[in-house]
Amino acid sequence: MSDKSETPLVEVRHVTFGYGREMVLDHVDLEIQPRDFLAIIGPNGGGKTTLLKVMLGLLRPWSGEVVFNLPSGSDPRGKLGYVPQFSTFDKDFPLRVADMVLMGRLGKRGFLRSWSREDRAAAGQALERLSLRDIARAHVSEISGGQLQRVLIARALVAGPEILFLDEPTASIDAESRETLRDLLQDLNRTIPIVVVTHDVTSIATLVRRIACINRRLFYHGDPELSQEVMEEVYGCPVELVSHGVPHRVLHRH
Amino acid sequence: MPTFFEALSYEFLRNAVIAGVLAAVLCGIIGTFVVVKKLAFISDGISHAAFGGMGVCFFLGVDPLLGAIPVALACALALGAVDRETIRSYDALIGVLWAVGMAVGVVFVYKTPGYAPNLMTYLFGNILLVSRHDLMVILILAASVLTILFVFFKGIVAVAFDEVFARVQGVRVRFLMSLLLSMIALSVVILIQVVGIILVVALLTIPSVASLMLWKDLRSVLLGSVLIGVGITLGGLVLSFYYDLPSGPAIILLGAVLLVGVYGVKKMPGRRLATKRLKHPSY
Repeated sequence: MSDKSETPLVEVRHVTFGYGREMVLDHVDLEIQPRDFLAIIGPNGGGKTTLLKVMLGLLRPWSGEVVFNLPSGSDPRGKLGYVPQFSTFDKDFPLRVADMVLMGRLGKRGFLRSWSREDRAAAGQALERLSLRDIARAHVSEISGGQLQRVLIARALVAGPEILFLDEPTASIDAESRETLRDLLQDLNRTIPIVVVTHDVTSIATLVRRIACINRRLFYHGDPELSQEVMEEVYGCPVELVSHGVPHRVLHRH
Repeated sequence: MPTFFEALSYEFLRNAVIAGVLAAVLCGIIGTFVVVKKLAFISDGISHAAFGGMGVCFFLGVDPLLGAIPVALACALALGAVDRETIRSYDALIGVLWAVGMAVGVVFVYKTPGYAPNLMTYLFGNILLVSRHDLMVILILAASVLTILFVFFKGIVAVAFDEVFARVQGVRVRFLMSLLLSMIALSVVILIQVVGIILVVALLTIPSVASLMLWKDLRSVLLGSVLIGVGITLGGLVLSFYYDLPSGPAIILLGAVLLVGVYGVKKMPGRRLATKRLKHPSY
């Protein structure tokens, strides 16, 4: 691929991490290129989300490092868009959609100053882009899963991130919302790289440029054309035994 | 028998009303964060730990607040700084703080020479005994807590709603969390003077829980919670005046009745069916 000559935006170098004494990531190396659409896949408990958290700076690795070469510099603070899983925040929190999106500007604005006209305009644009205008005044607890997913993306985009990370974005939404999501990600990928952690790449398979298979170690990193042997090694079982929704079936050319 | 309004010419009742309203305003705001962030048990733990500081002050013969404030703040900071994954059981840690604080308090009160203050007063409080000096202290502390909350409002809301996202944005989550816990600790100590330790958590939670059931955006919840708090405090004082009830429990019981009422209205069969049908149109 032509990407390979460019300087990677993010370099994960020999990252090792674990919880307690249990090692979850074992010397993982990974690169994110400027136009990447990277899918991080692997079995449950294989360390996908952990790797994402290390890249986001939420977890400090035991050894190794994550180096950023973003267009605006090497300090990633406030420049990473993050779309978490639904379970990480309190959906019953008394908050309107528009206010939640506005919160995505906090890293830019700082929490001491009040929202500026610029912040509100950015929030308005993000709501518009994700077709959320009509429910801007609705409460976060009242909207559907697909709508909530778009609110999360709007919140991640409102500060103009230089890279977008999504954690299991298709897990809690219906088929129609998945299609909307795919179109949206395709559109976003024209300007920024996207990293998706998922156990189900079915709905975004056509967008993925490269994949990384993680099961404690990084088993594969490259084009989304997987050999049977790699998949068996990663999942540790014959491919046929793995049930539906598993990525390699979709990605592998039969 | 004079009416409640006539009786307001007595300073003790005027002080009680002013202290009650200040406490309710403070509780309504702090309590909303306590409830949405699920910190009720922590607040309870801090208030009991603070009793340890008070006991030491009795023994030394100084103002109990001088002991309660630093101990409450120290507990808040310790709870904010401790790494939840290392400590394993955060709840148990709070339980330990609670028990140790009470034990220290009781030991020092027991060993205090001469007149020993009645423990019941500090457990249940007596709003009718609030002095002019107490009132000034409450006013200054309440004003400081509310000012700090106002200044850091956006950050605290972001941390309360989605800590992980806030951290990704580079918000100083630990600092804000410690700040919030400190403000809760200060408020709790102020409230011990007014309604007593046992009832602090009730006054922190009841108005906010009711308000959260009634409203869905933060500003309305905060305002509603303040109004409900002021309402039950004044209502409780009026009830205690006319029916000769202990004032603290009267306030809380009135709040409990209100809470049950709000819950009942929200759970009325008609409403519930209607919402269910809307949420699952296909069934």
